Amino acid sequence: MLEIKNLHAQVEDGGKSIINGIDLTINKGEVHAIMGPNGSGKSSLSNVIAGHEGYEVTDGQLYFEGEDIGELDIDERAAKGIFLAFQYPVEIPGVSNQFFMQTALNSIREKKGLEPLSVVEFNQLLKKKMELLHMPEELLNRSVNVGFSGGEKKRNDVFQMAVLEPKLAILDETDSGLDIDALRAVADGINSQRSADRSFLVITHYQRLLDYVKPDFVHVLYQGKIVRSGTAELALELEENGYNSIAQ
Amino acid sequence: MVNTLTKPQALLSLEDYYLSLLEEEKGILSSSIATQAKKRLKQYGLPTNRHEEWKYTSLDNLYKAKPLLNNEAKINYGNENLPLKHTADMIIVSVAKQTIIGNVPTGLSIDFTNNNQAIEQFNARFNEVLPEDPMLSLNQALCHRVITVNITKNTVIEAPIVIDYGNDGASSFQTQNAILKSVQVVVSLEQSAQATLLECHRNLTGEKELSIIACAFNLAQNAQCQHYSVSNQQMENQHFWYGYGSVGRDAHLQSNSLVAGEQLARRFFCNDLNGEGAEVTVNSAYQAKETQTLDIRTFTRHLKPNCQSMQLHQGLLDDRSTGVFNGMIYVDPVALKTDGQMDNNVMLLTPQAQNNSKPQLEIYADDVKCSHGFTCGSIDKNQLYYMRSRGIPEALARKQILKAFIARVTENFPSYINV
Repeated sequence: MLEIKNLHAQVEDGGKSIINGIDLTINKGEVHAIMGPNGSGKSSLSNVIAGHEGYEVTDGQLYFEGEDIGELDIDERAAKGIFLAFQYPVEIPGVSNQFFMQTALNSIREKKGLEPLSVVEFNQLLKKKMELLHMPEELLNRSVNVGFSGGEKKRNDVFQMAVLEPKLAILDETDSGLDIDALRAVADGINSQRSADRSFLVITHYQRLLDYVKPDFVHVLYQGKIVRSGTAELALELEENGYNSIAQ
Repeated sequence: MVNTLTKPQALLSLEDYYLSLLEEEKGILSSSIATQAKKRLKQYGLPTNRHEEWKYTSLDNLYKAKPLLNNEAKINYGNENLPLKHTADMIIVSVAKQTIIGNVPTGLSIDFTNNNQAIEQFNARFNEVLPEDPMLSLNQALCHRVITVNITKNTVIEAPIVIDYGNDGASSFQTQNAILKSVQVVVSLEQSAQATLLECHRNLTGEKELSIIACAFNLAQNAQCQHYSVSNQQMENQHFWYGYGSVGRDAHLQSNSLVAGEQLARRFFCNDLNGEGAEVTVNSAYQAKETQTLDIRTFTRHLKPNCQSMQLHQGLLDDRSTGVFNGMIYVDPVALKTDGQMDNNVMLLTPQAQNNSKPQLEIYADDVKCSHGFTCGSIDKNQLYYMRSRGIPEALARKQILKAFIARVTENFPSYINV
């Protein structure tokens, strides 16, 4: 699904080098977790995969389903099936959630050469997904993330994922800022989207999200490099000993 | 007399032109209003950019315009190009044709004659507020259309009253000058009356046009007036709009305007909150591109206790355009418990676009709640990134963000108006 080879990246305009040689392969249906201390490059990695223009890839390759996506724009990568759930979902005043999702879905369909969904078809799809994720209907008419609580914003991102049905979902610290109930709700949402065809890259500081969303593999990122990889057990070890043990 | 020492040649030439035009042409307002206006124009002349009120809005390129001739026989356009979805249940007042289309219900009167006290009163009030304004003086001296709308006590007019400023005077106009459209509108709502007024500024001639409109709203106790203003004017247009609202006890005046298209436009709206519990809402969206200058001004006077005024002005400036906002909330010593808010938000789409904003408060009462704010920025990159990460192409994402920015005002428009 996703293959990262010797990836090096820096902040654009000759900024600091942030990703310093990452190799990672995520196969279909796998859930990978990336953990690491603050400033280790976790969010940068997710942004580089999504195609954020503020980062410059200085070396290495990114392959998605066998295709080199290094030169693709953000929206082209999204159309290929890469989805990024944001650490801080962005507010877009004046654009309703429903209209936003319809525009997004139809943009992706257009890039795939599919006919746009009619309003009726789209509304049916939306209703189905809302029921699945127990989303309140009033959320649809509200502006994207405006006036949403932290938990609502994260759930809204998961909802968007459910509608867009990506092949790879990158969850960038989706658990940050959530209380226990909100965390459980978001995790339930994520789990409802797990399938044999969909892969996940879950980025987190803490092990607690991984109690709910069980990863197949855990990687530790430190100073822009994966310094250790293992199974879910590794997350427990980190929780106990801290990141310093790895750094040493 | 006009001080000629420091003025650019272009302005001097314009002054000469208009002063001699005033000798040739006459408006239809009473001679006392017209004579005073002429006198003021002679006295103050046209301002340079050293004049505080005209610092960012230059009149150097003002058209040398002549009044539209009153040749109704040659006006042959209909309502088809009005920015409206349907016109069946509306009352459409054609300024040029002096006609009314639609049923005028009992309690509503629309009059094209000029001899009424309301006109005298509101011109006197305007002269106090803007004694030196040359465009207002021109309007008064050369006004060739007056529309008086009156709604009697307790009458609710459901159908929107559309003031159509469209004209196709080109056929009746043989010189190279631009067309001067100079109109006054007075809307009076008696106690507990309600009405919706929609102004459609449009130019059907394809010629250069200088339009100067003065519009008054007199709201008696508990009256409610919704006012909308839209334009589909071309870049050839220069547009000046002077509004005055007198809002009585528990009355509510709500105004939403979309300003776009004109090469040069200034809209000035003065509101006096004259009765306790009066409410005024003035919102505008201004969208400029190329070398347009769009200038929004408000002057809101809280003269009685417990009044509320709300303002939102959203500016979207592209290319090398210029936006100007100047707003003042004045709170009289007696106007306790005033609630006044004024916000101006601007998005600059190029490094060359500029906005000059001056929100001001002048408060002489204790125990009031007043705020004024101004924000200016470019398109939010995080919003663009977020939208693009959902598969929306950059151009479309950008378009939606801008549309949403303006929609904070335009969403107040009723659905029958195309914006």
